[in-house]
Amino acid sequence: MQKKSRLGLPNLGFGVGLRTQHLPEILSGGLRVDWFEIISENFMDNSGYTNSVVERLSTDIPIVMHGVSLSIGSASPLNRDYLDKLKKLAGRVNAAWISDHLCWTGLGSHNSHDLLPLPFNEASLKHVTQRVREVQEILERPLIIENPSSYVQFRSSTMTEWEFITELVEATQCGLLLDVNNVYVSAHNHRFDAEHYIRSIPHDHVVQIHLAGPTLCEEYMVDTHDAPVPAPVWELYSLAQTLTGGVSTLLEWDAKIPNYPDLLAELNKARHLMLNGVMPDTLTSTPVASVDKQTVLSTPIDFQLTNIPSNGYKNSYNGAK
Amino acid sequence: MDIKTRTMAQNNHSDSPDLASLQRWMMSAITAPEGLPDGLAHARKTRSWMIEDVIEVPPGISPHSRLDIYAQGYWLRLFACLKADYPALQRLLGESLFEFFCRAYLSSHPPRGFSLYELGDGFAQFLRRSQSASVKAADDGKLVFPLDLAQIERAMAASLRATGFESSDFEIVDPFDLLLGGNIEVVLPETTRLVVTHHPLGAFQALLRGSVPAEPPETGISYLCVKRAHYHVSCEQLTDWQFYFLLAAKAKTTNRCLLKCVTAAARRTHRPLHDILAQLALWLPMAQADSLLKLNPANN
Repeated sequence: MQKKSRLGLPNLGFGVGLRTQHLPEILSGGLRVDWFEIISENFMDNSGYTNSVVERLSTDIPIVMHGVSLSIGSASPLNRDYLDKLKKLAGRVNAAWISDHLCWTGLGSHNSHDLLPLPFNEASLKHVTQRVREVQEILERPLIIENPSSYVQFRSSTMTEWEFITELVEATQCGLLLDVNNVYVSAHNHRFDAEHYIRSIPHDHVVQIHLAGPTLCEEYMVDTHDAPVPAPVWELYSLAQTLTGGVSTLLEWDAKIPNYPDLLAELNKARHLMLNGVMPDTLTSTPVASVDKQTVLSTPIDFQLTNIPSNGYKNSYNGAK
Repeated sequence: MDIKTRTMAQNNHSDSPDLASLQRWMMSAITAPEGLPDGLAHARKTRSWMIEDVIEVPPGISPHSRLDIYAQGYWLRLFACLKADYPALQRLLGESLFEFFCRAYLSSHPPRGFSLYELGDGFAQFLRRSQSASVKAADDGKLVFPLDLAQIERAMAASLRATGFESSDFEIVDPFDLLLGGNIEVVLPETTRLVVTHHPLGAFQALLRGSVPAEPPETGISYLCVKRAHYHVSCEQLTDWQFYFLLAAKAKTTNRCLLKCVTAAARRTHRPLHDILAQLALWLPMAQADSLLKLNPANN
């Protein structure tokens, strides 16, 4: 039987992560994107303003749920309460799909709220495989797994990240959210070839691509999501789109978040690249941001903390796209 | 075979740590309040591993500096979360004192939930408990001011995400029905939060609006209410009888019948029942319009 590209899931086009501070501009000026990605945990146990807006938006535009606390690689049991809430939220916003990271976030009840790296070996593969299957059964849909950025590897690893991902996909038929920025960051930090990574994964399982801007801090690269997408990441994006045949693109910008038009301008670079097939000068000349290492935070959380925009509650959504 | 693949293929240890042990070691290392060196020392108490036994980094790179990205990030992320929940308190205390209290709180209350919104739940209470001896020793009200402010900010943060009345339809009950003694239930939404402070609302307003007041705060017991109407959260000052009326309605153990709430308010404030009922008839329509509460004609 012929395999379906993207697990049969649609190419949604070009989207951005929905951020609370952009809601007034979205509500007054229209959506201006093809789809939104929401952070799942922000809308669980939430009956506030942002939740009501997302529910209304979901009737007009595809919503993808992206989680940060599934902790698929944790040695602790899966959190059934979390999964039940995740499933209910997916129903409420009619989620196109649900993604989370190939990582662990805590042990027992202690949550680090970080995307911590896994050792890549047979034992951890067996463990994660079993849990992905369990989650897929509960959610009654394929789980879409994202490759995270990492800063350390483990001596107990016996395979590469791309080998691990390939085996995980084969065993579970899960989907992949290929974060080309994370590949770039981890490749820099662990000195592997980012292009080789992207060429090696199962392309027909890639459902979505993440784009973001990292920050160079002395010898290592940090996944800061606070800068324009740099030229090397655009090159990886172009390669990934060629190899996958075209999948949904999502621009992540989670700290020092720009205003909505500037965010859209960055997203439009991806649109332009896909439309024309060539890298314009504006992309090839964008450098990697760099700062003093004391000032950066990996896995930023600004986007999880802003509760309500000033005047946001006064706007009424008109559904204009 | 590229360099990376070759390195990984050599790592076929038969004595590899199991996943749970490795994750326990890493959590101990990166979450210690005193930083990574203390965390690694703590981790060694259960497993005698050296960092080099566990962590692999490229040649010439320190495994400590790489693991420290996670250790620093853990605290920075949690501080950022508490700052977002308590911005006015941070302004009042200043960054370093605020972080001192955050670190103390987080050391005894590490994050347990999947959502960062839960992290600050106990912070205001923690501050009050940890400072109770100092507050008792001081008599000028200055020490209790930040504790009150923290309580207000927590109530506002909780109200933002709680279930309110925005999507429920209800009729505003005619106040004269009250005077006729109808059997009416008082229902408070989760968005309505009650706070007793040792300063009037005006003393907190500059801080809540983003500035720092020049004058020392006035003192005096005040009854405040955080409420949400049309998704807009605000704080207002109540009279004593309004506060105790709402408090009785909020208590899960009592019957929320309007007359019982009024009786409770009269008992707590030593006011005549008919006096409170008369004032209630004027106040309840506004309180209902503000989504502070709703009145349900109870089934007899």
